[in-house]
Amino acid sequence: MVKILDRILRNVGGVAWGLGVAWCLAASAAGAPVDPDALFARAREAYDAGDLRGAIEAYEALLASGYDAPEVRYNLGNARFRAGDLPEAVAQYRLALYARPRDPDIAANLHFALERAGAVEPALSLPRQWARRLSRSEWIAIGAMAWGCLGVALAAAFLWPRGRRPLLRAAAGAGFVVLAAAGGWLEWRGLDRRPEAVVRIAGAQARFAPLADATVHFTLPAGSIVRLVGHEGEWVKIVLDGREGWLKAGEVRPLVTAATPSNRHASPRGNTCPWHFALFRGASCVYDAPHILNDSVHVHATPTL
Amino acid sequence: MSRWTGVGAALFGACTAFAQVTVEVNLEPRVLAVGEEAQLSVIVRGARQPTAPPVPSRVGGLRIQYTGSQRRMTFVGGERDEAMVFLYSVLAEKVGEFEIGPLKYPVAGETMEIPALGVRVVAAEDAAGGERMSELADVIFAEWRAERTNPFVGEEFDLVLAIAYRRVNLSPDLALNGLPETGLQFGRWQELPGGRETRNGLLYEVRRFRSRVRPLAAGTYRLDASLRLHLLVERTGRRSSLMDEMLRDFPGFPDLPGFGRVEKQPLDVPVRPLEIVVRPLPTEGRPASFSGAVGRFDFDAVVAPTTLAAGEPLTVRMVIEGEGNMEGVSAPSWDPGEGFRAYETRLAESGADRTGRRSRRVYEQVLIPRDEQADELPAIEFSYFDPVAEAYRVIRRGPFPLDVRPAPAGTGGGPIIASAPEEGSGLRVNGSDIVYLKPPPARWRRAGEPRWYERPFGRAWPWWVALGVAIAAWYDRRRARRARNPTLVRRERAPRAARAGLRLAEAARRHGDRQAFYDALWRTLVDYFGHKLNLPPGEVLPERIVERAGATAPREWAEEVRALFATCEAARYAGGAADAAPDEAQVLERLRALLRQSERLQW
Repeated sequence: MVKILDRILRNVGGVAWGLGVAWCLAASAAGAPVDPDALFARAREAYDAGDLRGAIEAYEALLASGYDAPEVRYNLGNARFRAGDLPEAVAQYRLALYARPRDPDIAANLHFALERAGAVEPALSLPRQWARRLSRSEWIAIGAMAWGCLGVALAAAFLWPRGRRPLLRAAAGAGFVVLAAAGGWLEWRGLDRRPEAVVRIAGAQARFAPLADATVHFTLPAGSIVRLVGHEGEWVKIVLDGREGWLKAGEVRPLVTAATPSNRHASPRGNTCPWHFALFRGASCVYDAPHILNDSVHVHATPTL
Repeated sequence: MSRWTGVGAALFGACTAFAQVTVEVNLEPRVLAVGEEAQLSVIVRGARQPTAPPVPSRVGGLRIQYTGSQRRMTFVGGERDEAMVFLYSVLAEKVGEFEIGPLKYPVAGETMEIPALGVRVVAAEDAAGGERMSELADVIFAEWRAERTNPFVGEEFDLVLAIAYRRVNLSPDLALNGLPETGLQFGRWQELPGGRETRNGLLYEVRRFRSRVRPLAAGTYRLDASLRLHLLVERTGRRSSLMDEMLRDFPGFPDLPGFGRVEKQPLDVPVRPLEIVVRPLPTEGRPASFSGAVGRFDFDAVVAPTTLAAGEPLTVRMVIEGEGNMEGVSAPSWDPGEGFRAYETRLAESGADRTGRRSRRVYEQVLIPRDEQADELPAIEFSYFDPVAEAYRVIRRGPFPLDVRPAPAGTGGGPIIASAPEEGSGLRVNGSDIVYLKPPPARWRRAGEPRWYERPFGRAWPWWVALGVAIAAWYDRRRARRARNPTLVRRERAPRAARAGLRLAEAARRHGDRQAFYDALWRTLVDYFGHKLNLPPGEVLPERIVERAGATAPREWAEEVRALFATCEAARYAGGAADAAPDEAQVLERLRALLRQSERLQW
């Protein structure tokens, strides 16, 4: 009897959460202001009640309303993981990790989801690992502060000749930090130009050429994190641990968000459009990434001997 | 071979009714041996920025190539002669008599008629062997030499480009154009040791370049490329100088373009075409384990440890070695069965021998037996296509018996273990479930909301810092300049000293203190001109000031200087009666006017 009551209450609760989420979604669609705290709390309660679908919808409603916080992506990743959608869980964890690179919870869950999917994290060189220890915003903040210190040290060296030697040493140190911050920023900037992507389907076959009958180079489990380096028609060129191959665009989910302001290229028409969106979502804007095109075409026409 | 040294010029009066536009054509020499070059120059006078004449690139057995233009200016008898010269190289390829032109040349709004120029090409005599050469191909040619002309998809083969030449010198730099852009992937070109070969009884020097080619898709590919190379020919337009004679034995000097006795002339040589027919891999007899390996390979697999407890990891090490498209080889795909938890196969080693043809790959896969029932690993199969035998081959290793003990009590199902062992750290225990949800953020940020560095202050921050440094640098430089130049410092101080003196004089005038007024006036004059002219106080005298001002100073100004000094001295030392003294306000105004005028003078 108690079990039956508990089940009824759970169902009633699930329905109630579902209605609440539906109301929030409707309000969002109607342009009404969304209370992010309320929606976040509802999503959490839905998750706790086992209503993973409701939780996913609520977290995605938050993202759709423009509240793109790492907490939302992390929790959405958890909901996706529980719902069995490992590739999307990996994608959400990875995006959350972009904003919070040193968050142990996000890193642990990402690692766990990759393990469950039978995939591994892409191996990064040591400098790139260091660059990824801080987020883009953190590198910019450090660079700005170091730039200010560099300016103050140089100005003081000019104004106070007696202390010029230690001040120039301090300026050199600040300059080094500025360079390091520029390197870190460039690493993140590289992700705009050549974003990472998560393989959607199990056993995706990376081929040597963007042809359906081209030889298979290697096979990827769902959830693998690869780097997109180019495209050719409906095919994308990927790199994983130094190996290159071609996958169909529909087989990967690019890790880009509309919120990234630098993730845009001016098109000849004057509008701006992230090339990834143009490729993956069929947007009407012009694909405009010549550096990608150059990399993707096998140019052997004029070898210099 | 004797050359015509006279100018075989066709100078024609192409003067039009409008202007002095003339076109002159020179071809030197007019008789060539096969393989020799003549220079065709079209000289245009009287036209502003003329375009190159439409000279055809091939006329009979002649190949004509535009080599550039130059503006020529000469002074003859005090008159300037300016002309634009368009230069072409004419290469004789076949024996015969040929005519270049006539040509219609639109220049300066008019169409000029360039008459035909006759060229005679004779067979070349080889001084050494006495052979006669009637084709350019007898002098230089290029051809492909392919290890395979009908390879299978994925079957790598060597492609060699051979350049054979005799009686000419080649520059080391070459370029190859027109290779297929798709279907065949060309590796890095590598020059092989040169050699000599005979062809049709003639001896040729041969340069060879090799590339490893990988067919990507089935089809017929025609290698119809063109080779751009540079002939090193003796200079014709420049006599050897003393410098050339001195450096002629210096290694490499004669080959330097612009120096020495030789110059580089570009030459396009077509490479004799070759068809590569890439065959698809047969579908008949293709094993299920085939994953694209084409070549000849060995395969081996090792399992360690074979004695372990349930939940402990074991490693399967798979070694693939051989010749073929190792880049296209992937780890054998196999299913260890339900009794094992399997992790992704990792590439542990990869390498090739010195020639790059034989390579080796080692894959490792971590497996964990779930319980003691997992007492055997099934056989692992690796298959490849052997293009020589034109058949698929399958190599099977295993099965591998295991001795699996039950898991120690209390360990449950065992932890989740990373599939990628980190170097030196062994296997990493990762936990058994995901971490719970996170609380909401302390502050919600909308997607379009600019961050601090995207706001105006943040964007301007680097420029503010740079501006601050620039101001400090400017101040430092100014301070250094003033430290080096006390005259400048005093000159800059003069207006300030004058203003202070004028304030004192004004105060004294208001208090009716005549003595103090004139003292302040005197002090103002002495301080101002002393600073302005860098004079000690005792030397600030009217005559000295007027002298330093020079002849450019107005006479009225000089008179006023003298008068004011005299007025001050009279008031201070002569003790003139108050009623006879000039009005103090007027004197003060005169002093102000004098100082303003003095500021405008060029000292």
